[in-house]
Amino acid sequence: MQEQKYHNYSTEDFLNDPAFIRSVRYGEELEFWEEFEKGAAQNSAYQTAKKELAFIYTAKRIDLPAGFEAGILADIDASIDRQERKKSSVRKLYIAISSAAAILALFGISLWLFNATVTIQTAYGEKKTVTLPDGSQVVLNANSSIDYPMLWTLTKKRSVQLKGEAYFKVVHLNHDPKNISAADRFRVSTAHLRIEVLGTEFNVKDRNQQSKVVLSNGSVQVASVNSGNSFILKPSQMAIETPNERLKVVQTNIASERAWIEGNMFMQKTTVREILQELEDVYGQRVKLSDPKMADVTIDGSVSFKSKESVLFVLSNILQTRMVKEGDTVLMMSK
Amino acid sequence: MLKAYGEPSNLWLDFTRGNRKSFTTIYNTHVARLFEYGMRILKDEDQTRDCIHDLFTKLWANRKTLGQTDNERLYLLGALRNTIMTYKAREDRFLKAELKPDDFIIEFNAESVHIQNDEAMAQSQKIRMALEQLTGRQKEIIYLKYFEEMDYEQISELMNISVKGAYKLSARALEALKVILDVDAAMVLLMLFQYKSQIF
Repeated sequence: MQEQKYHNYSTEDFLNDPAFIRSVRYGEELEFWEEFEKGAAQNSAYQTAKKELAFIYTAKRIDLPAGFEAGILADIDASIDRQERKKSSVRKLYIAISSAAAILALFGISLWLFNATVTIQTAYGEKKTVTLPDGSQVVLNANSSIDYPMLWTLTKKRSVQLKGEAYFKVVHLNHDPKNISAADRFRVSTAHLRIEVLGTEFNVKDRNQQSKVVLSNGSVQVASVNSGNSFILKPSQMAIETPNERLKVVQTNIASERAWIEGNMFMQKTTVREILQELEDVYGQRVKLSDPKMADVTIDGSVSFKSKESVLFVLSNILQTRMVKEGDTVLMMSK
Repeated sequence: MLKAYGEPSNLWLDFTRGNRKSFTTIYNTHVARLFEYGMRILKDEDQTRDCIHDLFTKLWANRKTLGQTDNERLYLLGALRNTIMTYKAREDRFLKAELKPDDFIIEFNAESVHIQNDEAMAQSQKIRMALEQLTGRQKEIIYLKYFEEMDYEQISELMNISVKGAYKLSARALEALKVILDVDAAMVLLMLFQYKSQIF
Protein backbone atom coordinates (compact mmCIF):
# COMPACT_ATOMS: atom_id res chain seq x y z
CA MET A 1 0.00 0.00 0.00
CA GLN A 2 1.33 3.43 -0.86
CA GLU A 3 0.91 5.63 2.12
CA GLN A 4 1.95 8.68 0.15
CA LYS A 5 -1.19 9.22 -1.90
CA TYR A 6 -3.41 9.33 1.18
CA HIS A 7 -1.69 12.42 2.55
CA ASN A 8 -3.34 14.63 -0.04
CA TYR A 9 -6.75 12.94 0.10
CA SER A 10 -9.91 14.92 0.80
CA THR A 11 -12.71 13.47 2.93
CA GLU A 12 -14.57 12.58 -0.23
CA ASP A 13 -11.51 10.84 -1.68
CA PHE A 14 -11.27 8.68 1.43
CA LEU A 15 -14.96 7.90 1.26
CA ASN A 16 -14.51 6.70 -2.30
CA ASP A 17 -11.46 4.60 -1.59
CA PRO A 18 -12.19 0.85 -1.45
CA ALA A 19 -9.17 0.04 0.77
CA PHE A 20 -10.19 2.70 3.26
CA ILE A 21 -13.79 1.50 3.19
CA ARG A 22 -12.72 -2.09 3.86
CA SER A 23 -10.48 -1.04 6.71
CA VAL A 24 -13.35 0.72 8.45
CA ARG A 25 -15.88 -1.95 7.63
CA TYR A 26 -13.89 -5.12 8.18
CA GLY A 27 -10.71 -3.91 9.92
CA GLU A 28 -8.61 -4.97 6.92
CA GLU A 29 -4.95 -3.88 6.80
CA LEU A 30 -5.29 -2.56 10.34
CA GLU A 31 -1.50 -2.22 10.81
CA PHE A 32 -1.16 0.00 7.77
CA TRP A 33 -3.96 2.28 8.84
CA GLU A 34 -2.78 2.49 12.44
CA GLU A 35 0.63 3.48 11.11
CA PHE A 36 -0.97 6.02 8.81
CA GLU A 37 -3.07 7.39 11.64
CA LYS A 38 0.02 8.00 13.80
CA GLY A 39 1.66 10.01 11.04
CA ALA A 40 -1.53 11.90 10.26
CA ALA A 41 -3.05 12.59 13.63
CA GLN A 42 -4.02 16.01 12.52
CA ASN A 43 -5.25 14.93 9.06
CA SER A 44 -8.80 16.19 9.52
CA ALA A 45 -9.92 14.89 6.12
CA TYR A 46 -9.05 11.37 7.24
CA GLN A 47 -10.63 11.80 10.65
CA THR A 48 -13.86 13.16 9.24
CA ALA A 49 -14.06 10.41 6.66
CA LYS A 50 -13.46 7.75 9.26
CA LYS A 51 -16.05 9.26 11.56
CA GLU A 52 -18.61 9.53 8.77
CA LEU A 53 -18.10 6.05 7.48
CA ALA A 54 -18.22 4.57 10.95
CA PHE A 55 -21.51 6.31 11.40
CA ILE A 56 -22.79 4.93 8.15
CA TYR A 57 -21.94 1.44 9.32
CA THR A 58 -24.06 1.86 12.40
CA ALA A 59 -27.03 1.35 10.14
CA LYS A 60 -29.13 -1.52 11.33
CA ARG A 61 -29.08 -4.45 8.94
CA ILE A 62 -32.24 -6.22 8.02
CA ASP A 63 -32.05 -9.97 8.42
CA LEU A 64 -34.14 -12.66 6.81
CA PRO A 65 -36.91 -13.72 9.18
CA ALA A 66 -36.79 -17.36 10.22
CA GLY A 67 -38.28 -19.72 7.68
CA PHE A 68 -38.47 -17.02 5.06
CA GLU A 69 -35.83 -18.45 2.73
CA ALA A 70 -37.38 -21.92 2.51
CA GLY A 71 -40.88 -20.45 2.51
CA ILE A 72 -40.49 -18.32 -0.60
CA LEU A 73 -38.53 -21.06 -2.33
CA ALA A 74 -41.45 -23.44 -1.82
CA ASP A 75 -43.81 -20.81 -3.28
CA ILE A 76 -41.51 -20.18 -6.22
CA ASP A 77 -41.18 -23.90 -6.91
CA ALA A 78 -44.94 -24.36 -6.78
CA SER A 79 -45.50 -21.43 -9.18
CA ILE A 80 -42.88 -22.68 -11.61
CA ASP A 81 -44.32 -26.20 -11.60
CA ARG A 82 -47.78 -24.81 -12.27
CA GLN A 83 -46.38 -22.61 -15.03
CA GLU A 84 -44.56 -25.50 -16.68
CA ARG A 85 -47.59 -27.76 -16.54
CA LYS A 86 -49.71 -25.06 -18.13
CA LYS A 87 -47.08 -24.36 -20.75
CA SER A 88 -46.71 -28.00 -21.68
CA SER A 89 -50.46 -28.53 -21.98
CA VAL A 90 -50.76 -25.34 -24.00
CA ARG A 91 -47.91 -26.54 -26.18
CA LYS A 92 -49.56 -29.92 -26.66
CA LEU A 93 -52.80 -28.23 -27.62
CA TYR A 94 -50.93 -25.93 -29.95
CA ILE A 95 -49.17 -28.85 -31.62
CA ALA A 96 -52.44 -30.74 -31.95
CA ILE A 97 -54.21 -27.76 -33.47
CA SER A 98 -51.40 -26.89 -35.84
CA SER A 99 -50.96 -30.46 -37.06
CA ALA A 100 -54.69 -30.76 -37.61
CA ALA A 101 -54.61 -27.50 -39.54
CA ALA A 102 -51.60 -28.64 -41.55
CA ILE A 103 -53.24 -31.94 -42.45
CA LEU A 104 -56.43 -30.16 -43.40
CA ALA A 105 -54.52 -27.67 -45.53
CA LEU A 106 -52.56 -30.46 -47.21
CA PHE A 107 -55.75 -32.36 -47.82
CA GLY A 108 -57.41 -29.25 -49.19
CA ILE A 109 -54.51 -28.43 -51.46
CA SER A 110 -54.30 -31.95 -52.86
CA LEU A 111 -58.04 -32.06 -53.30
CA TRP A 112 -57.86 -28.79 -55.15
CA LEU A 113 -54.82 -29.89 -57.20
CA PHE A 114 -56.38 -33.17 -58.22
CA ASN A 115 -59.60 -31.48 -59.16
CA ALA A 116 -58.03 -28.40 -60.69
CA THR A 117 -58.59 -28.13 -64.40
CA VAL A 118 -57.13 -26.19 -67.25
CA THR A 119 -59.81 -24.46 -69.29
CA ILE A 120 -59.37 -23.28 -72.83
CA GLN A 121 -62.20 -21.49 -74.56
CA THR A 122 -62.88 -19.68 -77.77
CA ALA A 123 -64.97 -16.60 -78.42
CA TYR A 124 -67.47 -16.19 -81.23
CA GLY A 125 -65.66 -16.35 -84.57
CA GLU A 126 -62.45 -17.61 -82.99
CA LYS A 127 -60.69 -20.99 -83.52
CA LYS A 128 -57.82 -22.42 -81.51
CA THR A 129 -55.51 -25.38 -81.91
CA VAL A 130 -54.48 -26.83 -78.54
CA THR A 131 -51.77 -29.41 -77.85
CA LEU A 132 -52.63 -31.46 -74.76
CA PRO A 133 -49.97 -32.69 -72.27
CA ASP A 134 -49.86 -36.12 -73.98
CA GLY A 135 -49.22 -34.55 -77.39
CA SER A 136 -52.77 -35.01 -78.67
CA GLN A 137 -54.14 -32.11 -80.65
CA VAL A 138 -57.51 -30.44 -80.42
CA VAL A 139 -58.91 -27.94 -82.89
CA LEU A 140 -61.49 -25.95 -80.99
CA ASN A 141 -64.31 -24.36 -82.99
CA ALA A 142 -65.72 -20.94 -82.10
CA ASN A 143 -67.86 -20.52 -78.97
CA SER A 144 -66.53 -23.74 -77.43
CA SER A 145 -64.41 -24.82 -74.49
CA ILE A 146 -62.43 -27.77 -73.20
CA ASP A 147 -61.40 -28.60 -69.64
CA TYR A 148 -58.70 -31.07 -68.69
CA PRO A 149 -57.05 -31.98 -65.36
CA MET A 150 -54.10 -29.86 -64.35
CA LEU A 151 -52.24 -32.96 -63.07
CA TRP A 152 -52.90 -34.84 -66.31
CA THR A 153 -49.39 -36.32 -66.45
CA LEU A 154 -49.45 -37.25 -62.75
CA THR A 155 -52.85 -38.89 -62.68
CA LYS A 156 -52.24 -40.55 -66.08
CA LYS A 157 -55.85 -39.85 -66.89
CA ARG A 158 -56.42 -38.55 -70.39
CA SER A 159 -59.78 -36.93 -70.01
CA VAL A 160 -61.30 -33.88 -71.63
CA GLN A 161 -64.62 -32.15 -71.09
CA LEU A 162 -66.05 -30.47 -74.14
CA LYS A 163 -68.68 -27.84 -74.68
CA GLY A 164 -69.35 -26.90 -78.30
CA GLU A 165 -67.38 -28.44 -81.14
CA ALA A 166 -63.86 -29.77 -81.52
CA TYR A 167 -61.78 -32.01 -83.76
CA PHE A 168 -59.50 -34.41 -81.89
CA LYS A 169 -56.26 -36.00 -83.11
CA VAL A 170 -55.45 -38.37 -80.28
CA VAL A 171 -51.94 -39.80 -79.86
CA HIS A 172 -51.92 -43.57 -79.67
CA LEU A 173 -50.14 -44.72 -76.52
CA ASN A 174 -51.06 -48.41 -76.43
CA HIS A 175 -48.52 -50.82 -77.94
CA ASP A 176 -50.11 -54.10 -76.93
CA PRO A 177 -53.76 -54.42 -78.01
CA LYS A 178 -54.25 -57.38 -75.66
CA ASN A 179 -53.27 -55.33 -72.66
CA ILE A 180 -54.91 -51.92 -72.58
CA SER A 181 -54.18 -49.85 -69.50
CA ALA A 182 -56.26 -46.99 -68.12
CA ALA A 183 -53.58 -44.52 -69.18
CA ASP A 184 -53.94 -45.69 -72.81
CA ARG A 185 -57.56 -44.59 -72.97
CA PHE A 186 -58.52 -41.10 -73.99
CA ARG A 187 -61.95 -39.89 -72.88
CA VAL A 188 -64.04 -37.02 -74.09
CA SER A 189 -67.22 -36.13 -72.23
CA THR A 190 -69.92 -33.78 -73.32
CA ALA A 191 -73.22 -33.02 -71.63
CA HIS A 192 -74.74 -35.99 -73.45
CA LEU A 193 -71.97 -38.34 -74.58
CA ARG A 194 -69.03 -40.32 -73.24
CA ILE A 195 -66.44 -41.05 -75.89
CA GLU A 196 -63.51 -43.38 -75.38
CA VAL A 197 -60.68 -43.96 -77.81
CA LEU A 198 -57.14 -45.27 -77.97
CA GLY A 199 -55.77 -43.16 -80.77
CA THR A 200 -57.85 -41.78 -83.61
CA GLU A 201 -59.15 -38.68 -85.27
CA PHE A 202 -62.73 -37.69 -84.76
CA ASN A 203 -65.06 -34.71 -84.59
CA VAL A 204 -67.35 -34.10 -81.65
CA LYS A 205 -70.14 -31.58 -81.63
CA ASP A 206 -72.53 -31.01 -78.75
CA ARG A 207 -74.70 -27.98 -79.28
CA ASN A 208 -78.37 -27.14 -78.75
CA GLN A 209 -79.23 -30.54 -77.24
CA GLN A 210 -77.87 -32.26 -80.34
CA SER A 211 -74.71 -34.31 -79.99
CA LYS A 212 -72.73 -36.06 -82.65
CA VAL A 213 -69.45 -37.85 -83.07
CA VAL A 214 -67.94 -38.49 -86.47
CA LEU A 215 -64.96 -40.77 -86.91
CA SER A 216 -62.20 -40.04 -89.44
CA ASN A 217 -60.11 -43.15 -88.80
CA GLY A 218 -59.43 -45.79 -86.15
CA SER A 219 -62.34 -46.59 -83.87
CA VAL A 220 -64.18 -44.94 -81.02
CA GLN A 221 -66.67 -46.06 -78.46
CA VAL A 222 -69.56 -43.70 -77.92
CA ALA A 223 -72.02 -44.04 -75.06
CA SER A 224 -75.08 -41.97 -74.31
CA VAL A 225 -75.32 -40.51 -70.83
CA ASN A 226 -79.13 -40.51 -70.92
CA SER A 227 -79.97 -43.89 -72.45
CA GLY A 228 -76.80 -45.79 -71.69
CA ASN A 229 -76.75 -46.93 -75.36
CA SER A 230 -73.26 -47.48 -76.68
CA PHE A 231 -71.76 -48.09 -80.12
CA ILE A 232 -68.38 -48.65 -81.63
CA LEU A 233 -67.95 -46.43 -84.67
CA LYS A 234 -66.08 -47.22 -87.85
CA PRO A 235 -64.63 -44.54 -90.10
CA SER A 236 -67.27 -42.46 -91.91
CA GLN A 237 -69.88 -43.38 -89.36
CA MET A 238 -71.59 -40.82 -87.17
CA ALA A 239 -73.21 -41.37 -83.78
CA ILE A 240 -75.97 -38.84 -83.20
CA GLU A 241 -78.39 -38.12 -80.39
CA THR A 242 -81.14 -35.52 -80.44
CA PRO A 243 -83.84 -34.67 -77.91
CA ASN A 244 -86.28 -36.70 -80.02
CA GLU A 245 -84.08 -39.63 -80.92
CA ARG A 246 -81.92 -41.94 -78.90
CA LEU A 247 -78.29 -42.44 -79.83
CA LYS A 248 -77.98 -44.08 -83.22
CA VAL A 249 -75.35 -44.64 -85.90
CA VAL A 250 -75.62 -43.34 -89.43
CA GLN A 251 -73.33 -43.07 -92.47
CA THR A 252 -71.95 -39.63 -93.17
CA ASN A 253 -69.49 -37.66 -95.21
CA ILE A 254 -66.37 -36.91 -93.19
CA ALA A 255 -65.32 -34.01 -95.36
CA SER A 256 -68.56 -32.12 -94.69
CA GLU A 257 -68.34 -32.75 -90.93
CA ARG A 258 -64.84 -31.39 -90.67
CA ALA A 259 -65.23 -28.62 -93.24
CA TRP A 260 -65.48 -26.05 -90.41
CA ILE A 261 -61.78 -26.51 -89.70
CA GLU A 262 -61.02 -24.85 -93.06
CA GLY A 263 -63.80 -22.30 -92.46
CA ASN A 264 -66.34 -23.85 -94.80
CA MET A 265 -69.75 -25.46 -94.58
CA PHE A 266 -70.76 -28.23 -96.97
CA MET A 267 -74.44 -28.56 -97.64
CA GLN A 268 -76.43 -31.52 -98.91
CA LYS A 269 -80.11 -30.74 -98.68
CA THR A 270 -79.28 -28.62 -95.70
CA THR A 271 -82.09 -26.39 -94.51
CA VAL A 272 -81.72 -22.65 -94.07
CA ARG A 273 -82.71 -23.28 -90.42
CA GLU A 274 -79.62 -25.43 -89.92
CA ILE A 275 -77.35 -22.85 -91.53
CA LEU A 276 -78.78 -20.07 -89.37
CA GLN A 277 -78.28 -22.24 -86.27
CA GLU A 278 -74.63 -22.74 -87.24
CA LEU A 279 -74.28 -19.01 -87.81
CA GLU A 280 -75.63 -18.31 -84.34
CA ASP A 281 -73.45 -20.99 -82.74
CA VAL A 282 -70.22 -19.87 -84.39
CA TYR A 283 -70.68 -16.10 -84.60
CA GLY A 284 -73.45 -15.40 -82.07
CA GLN A 285 -75.37 -13.79 -84.87
CA ARG A 286 -79.17 -14.07 -84.76
CA VAL A 287 -81.16 -13.84 -87.97
CA LYS A 288 -84.91 -13.36 -88.30
CA LEU A 289 -86.79 -14.29 -91.44
CA SER A 290 -89.76 -12.22 -92.54
CA ASP A 291 -91.33 -15.39 -93.96
CA PRO A 292 -90.92 -18.48 -91.68
CA LYS A 293 -91.25 -20.74 -94.72
CA MET A 294 -87.82 -19.59 -95.87
CA ALA A 295 -86.31 -21.68 -93.06
CA ASP A 296 -87.34 -24.88 -94.78
CA VAL A 297 -85.57 -24.06 -98.02
CA THR A 298 -82.78 -26.57 -98.65
CA ILE A 299 -79.42 -25.75 -100.12
CA ASP A 300 -76.66 -27.81 -101.73
CA GLY A 301 -73.06 -26.78 -102.17
CA SER A 302 -70.47 -24.99 -100.10
CA VAL A 303 -70.58 -21.72 -98.16
CA SER A 304 -67.56 -19.92 -96.79
CA PHE A 305 -67.93 -19.57 -93.05
CA LYS A 306 -64.77 -17.48 -92.66
CA SER A 307 -66.84 -14.41 -91.82
CA LYS A 308 -70.46 -13.95 -90.81
CA GLU A 309 -70.88 -11.27 -93.50
CA SER A 310 -70.07 -13.77 -96.28
CA VAL A 311 -72.65 -16.25 -94.89
CA LEU A 312 -75.29 -13.54 -94.58
CA PHE A 313 -74.55 -12.28 -98.09
CA VAL A 314 -74.87 -15.75 -99.66
CA LEU A 315 -78.06 -16.58 -97.77
CA SER A 316 -79.65 -13.28 -98.56
CA ASN A 317 -78.92 -13.80 -102.22
CA ILE A 318 -80.28 -17.34 -102.31
CA LEU A 319 -83.45 -16.32 -100.49
CA GLN A 320 -83.73 -13.11 -102.47
CA THR A 321 -84.14 -10.87 -99.47
CA ARG A 322 -82.78 -7.58 -98.30
CA MET A 323 -81.18 -7.33 -94.88
CA VAL A 324 -82.13 -4.88 -92.18
CA LYS A 325 -80.19 -4.60 -88.94
CA GLU A 326 -82.36 -4.58 -85.84
CA GLY A 327 -79.97 -4.18 -82.94
CA ASP A 328 -78.00 -7.42 -82.66
CA THR A 329 -80.35 -9.24 -84.98
CA VAL A 330 -80.39 -9.22 -88.78
CA LEU A 331 -83.83 -9.26 -90.37
CA MET A 332 -84.14 -10.82 -93.87
CA MET A 333 -87.15 -9.44 -95.70
CA SER A 334 -88.53 -10.81 -98.96
CA LYS A 335 -88.00 -8.41 -101.81
CA MET B 1 -31.84 -5.08 -18.32
CA LEU B 2 -28.33 -4.85 -16.99
CA LYS B 3 -25.53 -5.32 -19.39
CA ALA B 4 -22.92 -7.99 -18.97
CA TYR B 5 -19.28 -7.32 -18.30
CA GLY B 6 -17.58 -10.62 -18.84
CA GLU B 7 -18.12 -14.33 -18.96
CA PRO B 8 -21.14 -15.53 -17.00
CA SER B 9 -20.48 -18.13 -14.33
CA ASN B 10 -21.13 -21.77 -15.06
CA LEU B 11 -23.84 -21.68 -12.45
CA TRP B 12 -25.68 -18.94 -14.34
CA LEU B 13 -25.19 -20.72 -17.67
CA ASP B 14 -26.54 -23.97 -16.23
CA PHE B 15 -29.56 -22.12 -14.89
CA THR B 16 -30.31 -20.46 -18.26
CA ARG B 17 -30.08 -23.92 -19.85
CA GLY B 18 -32.81 -25.16 -17.54
CA ASN B 19 -30.97 -26.62 -14.53
CA ARG B 20 -33.35 -26.26 -11.57
CA LYS B 21 -30.63 -27.07 -9.02
CA SER B 22 -28.45 -24.20 -10.25
CA PHE B 23 -31.50 -21.98 -10.09
CA THR B 24 -32.11 -22.96 -6.46
CA THR B 25 -28.43 -22.39 -5.62
CA ILE B 26 -28.62 -18.89 -7.10
CA TYR B 27 -31.74 -18.22 -5.06
CA ASN B 28 -30.18 -19.46 -1.81
CA THR B 29 -27.01 -17.44 -2.41
CA HIS B 30 -28.74 -14.13 -2.94
CA VAL B 31 -32.10 -14.20 -1.20
CA ALA B 32 -30.84 -12.54 2.01
CA ARG B 33 -29.37 -9.56 0.16
CA LEU B 34 -32.42 -9.26 -2.04
CA PHE B 35 -34.69 -9.36 0.98
CA GLU B 36 -32.77 -6.59 2.72
CA TYR B 37 -32.74 -4.37 -0.36
CA GLY B 38 -36.42 -5.02 -1.01
CA MET B 39 -37.35 -4.29 2.60
CA ARG B 40 -35.48 -0.98 2.50
CA ILE B 41 -37.62 0.13 -0.44
CA LEU B 42 -40.95 -1.47 0.41
CA LYS B 43 -40.79 -1.50 4.24
CA ASP B 44 -43.19 -4.44 4.17
CA GLU B 45 -42.35 -8.09 4.53
CA ASP B 46 -45.31 -9.45 2.55
CA GLN B 47 -44.76 -7.11 -0.36
CA THR B 48 -41.06 -7.93 -0.42
CA ARG B 49 -41.93 -11.60 -0.39
CA ASP B 50 -44.31 -11.11 -3.33
CA CYS B 51 -41.70 -9.24 -5.32
CA ILE B 52 -38.98 -11.84 -4.74
CA HIS B 53 -41.46 -14.56 -5.68
CA ASP B 54 -42.38 -12.70 -8.88
CA LEU B 55 -38.75 -12.07 -9.69
CA PHE B 56 -37.68 -15.70 -9.47
CA THR B 57 -40.70 -17.18 -11.23
CA LYS B 58 -40.17 -14.73 -14.09
CA LEU B 59 -36.45 -15.46 -14.19
CA TRP B 60 -37.24 -19.13 -14.64
CA ALA B 61 -39.93 -18.54 -17.24
CA ASN B 62 -37.65 -16.26 -19.28
CA ARG B 63 -34.40 -18.10 -18.63
CA LYS B 64 -33.76 -18.82 -22.32
CA THR B 65 -33.87 -15.16 -23.29
CA LEU B 66 -32.21 -13.67 -20.20
CA GLY B 67 -29.17 -11.47 -20.60
CA GLN B 68 -25.96 -13.12 -19.48
CA THR B 69 -24.20 -11.66 -16.50
CA ASP B 70 -20.89 -12.12 -14.73
CA ASN B 71 -22.27 -10.40 -11.64
CA GLU B 72 -25.30 -12.27 -10.41
CA ARG B 73 -25.81 -10.07 -7.37
CA LEU B 74 -25.84 -6.86 -9.40
CA TYR B 75 -28.11 -8.46 -11.96
CA LEU B 76 -30.54 -9.76 -9.36
CA LEU B 77 -30.63 -6.52 -7.34
CA GLY B 78 -31.35 -4.62 -10.56
CA ALA B 79 -34.03 -7.08 -11.59
CA LEU B 80 -35.61 -6.88 -8.12
CA ARG B 81 -35.56 -3.09 -8.27
CA ASN B 82 -37.40 -3.22 -11.62
CA THR B 83 -39.89 -5.72 -10.22
CA ILE B 84 -40.53 -3.45 -7.24
CA MET B 85 -40.97 -0.38 -9.46
CA THR B 86 -43.48 -2.27 -11.60
CA TYR B 87 -45.20 -3.43 -8.42
CA LYS B 88 -45.38 0.09 -7.02
CA ALA B 89 -46.60 1.47 -10.35
CA ARG B 90 -49.39 -1.09 -10.22
CA GLU B 91 -50.25 -0.07 -6.65
CA ASP B 92 -50.73 3.60 -7.46
CA ARG B 93 -51.70 3.26 -11.04
CA PHE B 94 -51.40 6.85 -12.13
CA LEU B 95 -48.05 7.68 -10.65
CA LYS B 96 -44.78 6.97 -12.32
CA ALA B 97 -42.92 4.79 -9.88
CA GLU B 98 -39.91 6.54 -8.43
CA LEU B 99 -38.35 6.52 -5.05
CA LYS B 100 -39.80 9.24 -2.88
CA PRO B 101 -37.75 10.79 0.01
CA ASP B 102 -39.02 8.30 2.54
CA ASP B 103 -39.03 5.38 0.11
CA PHE B 104 -35.69 4.02 1.13
CA ILE B 105 -35.13 3.30 4.77
CA ILE B 106 -31.78 3.04 6.36
CA GLU B 107 -31.69 3.54 10.09
CA PHE B 108 -28.38 4.81 11.31
CA ASN B 109 -27.89 4.10 14.94
CA ALA B 110 -28.11 7.61 16.32
CA GLU B 111 -28.43 6.12 19.80
CA SER B 112 -25.00 4.62 19.54
CA VAL B 113 -23.52 8.08 19.99
CA HIS B 114 -25.80 8.65 22.91
CA ILE B 115 -24.04 9.49 26.13
CA GLN B 116 -25.55 10.65 29.30
CA ASN B 117 -25.14 14.36 29.04
CA ASP B 118 -27.22 17.16 27.66
CA GLU B 119 -24.85 18.06 24.93
CA ALA B 120 -24.93 14.56 23.56
CA MET B 121 -28.71 14.52 23.79
CA ALA B 122 -28.77 17.67 21.71
CA GLN B 123 -26.38 16.10 19.21
CA SER B 124 -28.50 13.01 18.97
CA GLN B 125 -31.53 15.15 18.31
CA LYS B 126 -29.64 17.08 15.63
CA ILE B 127 -28.58 13.88 13.93
CA ARG B 128 -32.11 12.55 13.84
CA MET B 129 -33.43 15.71 12.24
CA ALA B 130 -30.63 15.84 9.68
CA LEU B 131 -31.17 12.22 8.72
CA GLU B 132 -34.74 12.98 7.88
CA GLN B 133 -33.47 15.45 5.29
CA LEU B 134 -31.78 12.70 3.29
CA THR B 135 -33.77 11.67 0.21
CA GLY B 136 -34.65 8.10 -0.60
CA ARG B 137 -32.21 8.07 -3.49
CA GLN B 138 -29.42 9.47 -1.30
CA LYS B 139 -30.04 6.78 1.27
CA GLU B 140 -30.16 4.15 -1.45
CA ILE B 141 -26.85 5.16 -2.94
CA ILE B 142 -25.21 5.11 0.50
CA TYR B 143 -26.55 1.63 0.99
CA LEU B 144 -25.39 0.36 -2.40
CA LYS B 145 -22.00 1.99 -2.08
CA TYR B 146 -21.10 0.96 1.44
CA PHE B 147 -23.15 -2.15 2.14
CA GLU B 148 -23.29 -3.72 -1.32
CA GLU B 149 -19.86 -2.20 -2.07
CA MET B 150 -20.73 -1.34 -5.63
CA ASP B 151 -18.74 1.07 -7.77
CA TYR B 152 -20.34 4.09 -9.39
CA GLU B 153 -20.71 2.36 -12.72
CA GLN B 154 -22.69 -0.50 -11.20
CA ILE B 155 -24.75 1.92 -9.11
CA SER B 156 -25.57 4.06 -12.13
CA GLU B 157 -26.74 0.99 -13.99
CA LEU B 158 -28.81 -0.25 -11.11
CA MET B 159 -30.44 3.08 -10.28
CA ASN B 160 -30.81 3.97 -13.93
CA ILE B 161 -28.84 7.21 -13.68
CA SER B 162 -25.60 8.42 -15.30
CA VAL B 163 -22.24 7.68 -13.68
CA LYS B 164 -21.81 11.43 -13.23
CA GLY B 165 -25.23 11.59 -11.60
CA ALA B 166 -24.24 8.78 -9.23
CA TYR B 167 -21.10 10.71 -8.22
CA LYS B 168 -23.13 13.83 -7.54
CA LEU B 169 -25.82 12.01 -5.63
CA SER B 170 -23.26 10.24 -3.47
CA ALA B 171 -21.32 13.46 -2.83
CA ARG B 172 -24.48 15.24 -1.74
CA ALA B 173 -25.46 12.39 0.59
CA LEU B 174 -22.02 12.28 2.17
CA GLU B 175 -22.00 16.06 2.54
CA ALA B 176 -25.30 15.87 4.41
CA LEU B 177 -23.93 13.15 6.66
CA LYS B 178 -20.81 15.18 7.37
CA VAL B 179 -22.91 18.04 8.66
CA ILE B 180 -24.70 15.61 10.92
CA LEU B 181 -21.45 14.33 12.24
CA ASP B 182 -19.98 17.68 13.01
CA VAL B 183 -19.24 16.45 16.47
CA ASP B 184 -16.11 16.30 18.55
CA ALA B 185 -13.51 13.63 18.18
CA ALA B 186 -14.19 12.01 21.52
CA MET B 187 -17.67 11.18 20.41
CA VAL B 188 -16.34 9.65 17.24
CA LEU B 189 -14.07 7.39 19.14
CA LEU B 190 -16.87 6.31 21.39
CA MET B 191 -19.08 5.79 18.40
CA LEU B 192 -16.47 3.67 16.72
CA PHE B 193 -16.02 1.61 19.83
CA GLN B 194 -19.73 0.98 20.07
CA TYR B 195 -19.99 0.13 16.37
CA LYS B 196 -17.19 -2.41 16.58
CA SER B 197 -18.66 -3.98 19.66
CA GLN B 198 -21.76 -4.56 17.56
CA ILE B 199 -20.10 -6.61 14.92
CA PHE B 200 -17.37 -8.40 16.85
